[in-house]
Amino acid sequence: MSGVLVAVVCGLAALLVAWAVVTVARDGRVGRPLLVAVGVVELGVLVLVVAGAVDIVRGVRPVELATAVAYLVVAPFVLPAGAFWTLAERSRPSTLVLVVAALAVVVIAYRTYELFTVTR
Amino acid sequence: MSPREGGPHRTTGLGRVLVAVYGVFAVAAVSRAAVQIATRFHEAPLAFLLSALAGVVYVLATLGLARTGPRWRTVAWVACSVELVGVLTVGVLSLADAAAFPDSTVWSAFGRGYGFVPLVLPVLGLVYLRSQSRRS
Repeated sequence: MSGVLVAVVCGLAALLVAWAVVTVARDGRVGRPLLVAVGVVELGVLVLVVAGAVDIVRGVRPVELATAVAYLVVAPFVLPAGAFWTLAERSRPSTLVLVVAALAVVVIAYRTYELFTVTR
Repeated sequence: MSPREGGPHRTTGLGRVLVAVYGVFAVAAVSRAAVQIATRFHEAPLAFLLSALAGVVYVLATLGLARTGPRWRTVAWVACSVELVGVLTVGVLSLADAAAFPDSTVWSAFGRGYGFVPLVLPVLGLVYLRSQSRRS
């Protein structure tokens, strides 16, 4: 798995965290631009998942294979779930849910990278 | 902000953030336990069963906090309390008897592997539940 790709995804997700935090701080609402940003980060996550899947198909065997696969399976659902949960109630604290989801993506992307670095 | 504001069955406001964090931990703990039990249960049955218990508790806490109504509140109270006791007990045990906990669980060393969030979360949950019960 490419470290650059992971770094890009982590960076984008971190930017999303910052943007969502600023939105909360300014008491703004989640609008289209922020949702587009969510889409962009989600796209990055999907590329990451495909890259991981390709690695496994090509014979890369992380020591903790089951965990690595679990991360790949769960990763795409985090942001959509967070966005959905945020939009279900347009309130200030509700936007923090997006912050939580984006933070989770940063951690997930990094952990996935770690899992794919320790191979048999 | 009353718990009934967003309809009768949904949590509103800051409670939603708590539910989101709990949701992340529910997924993480359940997946982790599933992997541990499926791949090397024999290595440390006690630790992995506790891992599974932690997962179940997180799921119940998530549901209990996400829903409103007295029954779900009770579920949330019990889940958060069990969680606090669990993270403290496993935290102490994992430090005192490291051999019994070869693979870290969510609650090992007071949740150090997860930035101590598992230690803070039940406290936040209980504080939130208390503030809610005072309001109603």
